[in-house]
Amino acid sequence: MVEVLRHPKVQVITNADILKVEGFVGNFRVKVRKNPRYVMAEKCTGCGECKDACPIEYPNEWDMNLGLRKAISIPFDQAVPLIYSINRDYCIECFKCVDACGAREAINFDQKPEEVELEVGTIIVTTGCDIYEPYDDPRYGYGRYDNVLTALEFERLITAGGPTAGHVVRASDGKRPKSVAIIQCVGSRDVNKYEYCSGFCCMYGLKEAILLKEHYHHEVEVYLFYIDIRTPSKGYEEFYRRAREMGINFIRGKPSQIMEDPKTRNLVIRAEDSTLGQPIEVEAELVVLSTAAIPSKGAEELASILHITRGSDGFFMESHPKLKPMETPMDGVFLAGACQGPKDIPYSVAQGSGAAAKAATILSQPKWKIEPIVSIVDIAKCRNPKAKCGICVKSCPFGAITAVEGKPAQINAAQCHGCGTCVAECPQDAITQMHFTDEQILSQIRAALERDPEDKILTFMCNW
Amino acid sequence: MCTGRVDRDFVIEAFRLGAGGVLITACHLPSDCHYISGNIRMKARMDALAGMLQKLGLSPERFKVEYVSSAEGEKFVHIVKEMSAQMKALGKEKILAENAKLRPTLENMLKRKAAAPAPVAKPSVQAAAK
Repeated sequence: MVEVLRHPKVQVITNADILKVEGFVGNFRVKVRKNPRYVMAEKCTGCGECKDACPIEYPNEWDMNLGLRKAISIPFDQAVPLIYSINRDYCIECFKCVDACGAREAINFDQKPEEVELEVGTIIVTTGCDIYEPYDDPRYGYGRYDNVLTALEFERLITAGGPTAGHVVRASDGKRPKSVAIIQCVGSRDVNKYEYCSGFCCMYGLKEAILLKEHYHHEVEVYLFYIDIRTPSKGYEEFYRRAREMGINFIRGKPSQIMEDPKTRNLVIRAEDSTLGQPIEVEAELVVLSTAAIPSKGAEELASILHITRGSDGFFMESHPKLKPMETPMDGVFLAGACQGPKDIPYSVAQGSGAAAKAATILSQPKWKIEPIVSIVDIAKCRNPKAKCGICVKSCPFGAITAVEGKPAQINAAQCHGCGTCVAECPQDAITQMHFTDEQILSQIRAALERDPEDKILTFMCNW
Repeated sequence: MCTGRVDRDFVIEAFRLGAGGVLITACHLPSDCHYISGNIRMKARMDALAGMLQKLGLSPERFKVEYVSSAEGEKFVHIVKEMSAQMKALGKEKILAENAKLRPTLENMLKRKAAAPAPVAKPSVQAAAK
């Protein structure tokens, strides 16, 4: 990341929102709002003296709210760019940070949101995914029992840079657990929740199990409840074998209920061991839930800004699952990483490199070829010059049509994808789709119904 | 091209020519459409048209909007089989009678479309074979 930041031809804008995207491939205009940090980027050296002076602490969302951070802080230790920011929701405006900053004068409490407009040729969406928090599933007791964690929370505990400096402790009594149960497929592969497989949970579940064994050896007993262990990528199966050789207890079965012992605060997990074919109960001092990857919170809003589609699972949809895995229906807009569907790091890196190459291919060409099936307006028939109409503008999913008052509607051929919705909606029949004209389709209908029409079912389908 | 392209006139023309049934199969609602919202526009348009055709005397099972993805061949077969069974249950006479009743109104609706030829009753395949 640091290398990218220092590249003379790369401009990194963080802490910002996309407000509006206009235009088409090669000519996008993107309106960006840079949110205020209350610290001037060009003056902040990232020394952290302000943080030491700040008296306010609040839960650190980077540590899944397990640790604390100051009201003036950086998002996390390796953050790029290294610029401090003030959370005004918690800041009490004591201005101790201003004093600590001294002659550098980097802190500016009057900073306002700044809007900039960028002109770009292509866009790559890499907004990632969120992780499901199973508060709504009573089976696991997440949120009710202190010693039930999600895998991300556990990851912060076992990381050396985490709030406990790598020591796994229980929230109820601060002691190290002697037995840990890891439960896979919480939310994923569940017809009542998220039907898809989140893909990478098996690997991080195995990783947490191995880390526990490496940290505490025989002092910790690890149980891993799974439906199937899916390790198809390079080197993954070997990792699974290593976990088995380390003495981790693999139990094939999905827990039906987790109960807490009120005295010891230990957790009793009820499940069916499907290899034994009988119900079992396991007592563990800590439970870790490997929860599903879900579409990120702003995905719906971003989809409407960019005019891109989302699948029934809520992730952004690619143009074609096999042949166009990075493209979107909008020319010049590409997808990479978990915003398109749950995926692990190697897969995301491969897709990101692919998307960058696709984007560069467009930018290196002087011309852009479009499908010939675009729509055109018959200026003589369009009623917009006489009456305010604009039905076609509303019907176009790609924002390709403009209808200025008093002038006939105009279709931007570069933005038109040839769906034909405007053609069917136009009350004046003023729009024609090339190669799918009304005359052509009506002739097909007439030919199809030439003989025995009453015995036939005429079907209209899209070509996808 | 999308089902959003299916003009009301296409359906009207099909029934004017005496089609037994008209089926529109689109991508699944709400967000499976390759063209973002073409299926939603089509659904709104066809709901209005279906209501009108039924008022004019068309049996509802003769005009349907269904959602079938390109990977759901079996579902498509099932829908078509179901629809043809329903048409058989209605009977040929009923379909012909409904068509005769509808035709004047539909012809009137299609007036603005140029060069719409009168339906020429070509001999049926079975008759031609004889």
